[in-house]
Amino acid sequence: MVKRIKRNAYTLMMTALGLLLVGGIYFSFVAPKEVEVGVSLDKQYSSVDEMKQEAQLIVEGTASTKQQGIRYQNMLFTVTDFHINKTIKGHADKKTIRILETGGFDGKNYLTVEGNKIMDKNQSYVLFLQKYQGSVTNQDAYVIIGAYQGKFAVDGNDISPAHKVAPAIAKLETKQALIKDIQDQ
Amino acid sequence: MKKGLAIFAFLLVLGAWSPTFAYVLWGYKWASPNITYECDMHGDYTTQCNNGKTEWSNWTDVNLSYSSNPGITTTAGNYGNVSWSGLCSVGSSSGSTVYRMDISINTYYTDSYSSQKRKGVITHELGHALGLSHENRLGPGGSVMYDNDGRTVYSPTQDDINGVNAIY
Ligand SMILES: [Zn+2]
Repeated sequence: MVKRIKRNAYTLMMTALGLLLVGGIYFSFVAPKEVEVGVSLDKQYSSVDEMKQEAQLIVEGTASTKQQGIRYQNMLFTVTDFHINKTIKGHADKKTIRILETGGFDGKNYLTVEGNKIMDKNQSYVLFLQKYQGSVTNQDAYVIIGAYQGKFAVDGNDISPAHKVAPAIAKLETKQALIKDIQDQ
Repeated sequence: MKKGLAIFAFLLVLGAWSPTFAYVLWGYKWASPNITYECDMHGDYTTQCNNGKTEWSNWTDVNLSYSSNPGITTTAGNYGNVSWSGLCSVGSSSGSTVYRMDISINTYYTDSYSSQKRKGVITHELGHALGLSHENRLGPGGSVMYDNDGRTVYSPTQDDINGVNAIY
């Protein structure tokens, strides 16, 4: 009787240890992780106004489910189709534009820039944009000012600025506050 | 009063002490401090890459040696107005051990930089490749790992050196 309990306890313990090991290996080596790329930004924007000055286009809209990864010389980029609901500055030729971002899902991990993933599918954003000039894609595309700095996730009236932005940008919590900052001056 | 002074002195010592440990580690490391690299870009990029490489190699416990099939690869190309002048991505790793790090230098920005500023970008990216993350607490002149090209130092500082030596 005691022997059987001992044997059962032993089996239970070994099973638990086995599961822990498999789980540990899965989460350490297999499960998708956020993997940072180490960039040097050309500059850090100190305010919404500074981003506004350099933006050719400021829009509110929704990232579609259409995303295309592009490998260009050792690095992964992603182009996302973005549906514009409202144009705040400038003029876009189409209702749906293409946004080029550095990073994306490489089949194994989510590559991030300063802890920022590329846009989520079906998520709304306010974006500060410039026409893309370069050879990663030869189709018309836009890039976000400051890589991620000009990207604000929108949920109803609440907005979430990106990680690692200047304090004056990080403190914005509502769409009204952001729009006011854009319209001031 | 005495107590207040003691606390003040303690904070002062703490304040003077902590910046020497300001470096931030990325979480990746090479299996050994003997790491291979190449700087085969073009013109001044190759020169400044070699200058940066020599400083990291001579000033830290890491030993960088040239290989045509290296651990650290470098590419200079025109990636366009993507807002970064340099980038280092993990090319191959297992857990926290890296086997290859790929550095990309974006000539869209760096072609108009001075040689010094260009060297700053490449040296910064080499710092990532060795396992360092961004360090902004010391300001633009305190660490070559300052996160943007407003940095005013273009060589590893004592803090950067301490960071690499803490890994290897
Ligand atoms: Zn960096």
